[in-house]
Amino acid sequence: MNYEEKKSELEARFKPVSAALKLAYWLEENPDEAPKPAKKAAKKVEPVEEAEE
Amino acid sequence: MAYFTGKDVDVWVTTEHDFDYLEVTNNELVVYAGSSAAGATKRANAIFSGALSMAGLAANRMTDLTGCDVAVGAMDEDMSFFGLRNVGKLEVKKDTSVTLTRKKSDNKNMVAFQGTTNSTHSYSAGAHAARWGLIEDSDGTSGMRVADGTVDPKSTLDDGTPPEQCYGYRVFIELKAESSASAGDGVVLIIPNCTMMEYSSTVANEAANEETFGFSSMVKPILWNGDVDGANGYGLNKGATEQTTAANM
Repeated sequence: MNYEEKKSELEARFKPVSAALKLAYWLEENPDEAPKPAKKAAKKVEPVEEAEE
Repeated sequence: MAYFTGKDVDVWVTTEHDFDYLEVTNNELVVYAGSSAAGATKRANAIFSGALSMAGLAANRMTDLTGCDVAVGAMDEDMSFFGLRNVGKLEVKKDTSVTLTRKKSDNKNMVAFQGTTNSTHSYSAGAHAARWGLIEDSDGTSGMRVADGTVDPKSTLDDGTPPEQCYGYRVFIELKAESSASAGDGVVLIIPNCTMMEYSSTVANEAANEETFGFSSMVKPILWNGDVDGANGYGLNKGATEQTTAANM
């Protein structure tokens, strides 16, 4: 069972704080299932226009 | 009253919560918020056999058991009727108790009986025993805590949606295991919603140290066929592990 499945299972069954607590313990025992942080979108760099002299 | 030696029976004592159970950490009682499906193995610091979902598995049963004394009875009320010789014996409630004796291989059961409970994991301020099992925190949102005996059994609820009865401990006494998978020909006496009633231990220099502790309940016991759900033990939310309804408390 992956992180999202476990999260939704616990949230359906227990109150929010309990579900979060259980999820934290579950992650401790299943560290490989930890959600990977989302990659930040690369900042678009605008080309600087050189001022015409 | 029936007395079984430790090799005659297998015994599990669990909380009345699907996943959560008690542990002893730094000689204090704390709650472990479990989340695994049925069939999980208890952690090293766990008290008794863990939670309801962990009953029926060999890895979770009570170890070093030397004796199991079961007393089954009922309280009747005698009703006399005008013009009738016989009185009506009307059952008021069951009265079941079990006393377990085991070699004292650790101090966890003693800590369960006399405490102390970690203040963060307590229903009140800590410094009490865990004779009454688990209860949802008084704010209704912070998960399960060690009950301090100030809430009546029927009002002792868990953190589920919807909440269910969670008072005390459940004792499973497997008198006969089923002969093969799904045969359902075993015999298991299940005593729900037990309070931990007494504790004593003996120390001797020429014999093994032993401890004796007891549980008592007035909720109707369950006689079950011992059907083991493969690696899941007695399973979850089945006949053996279904929490008691409010009407039956």
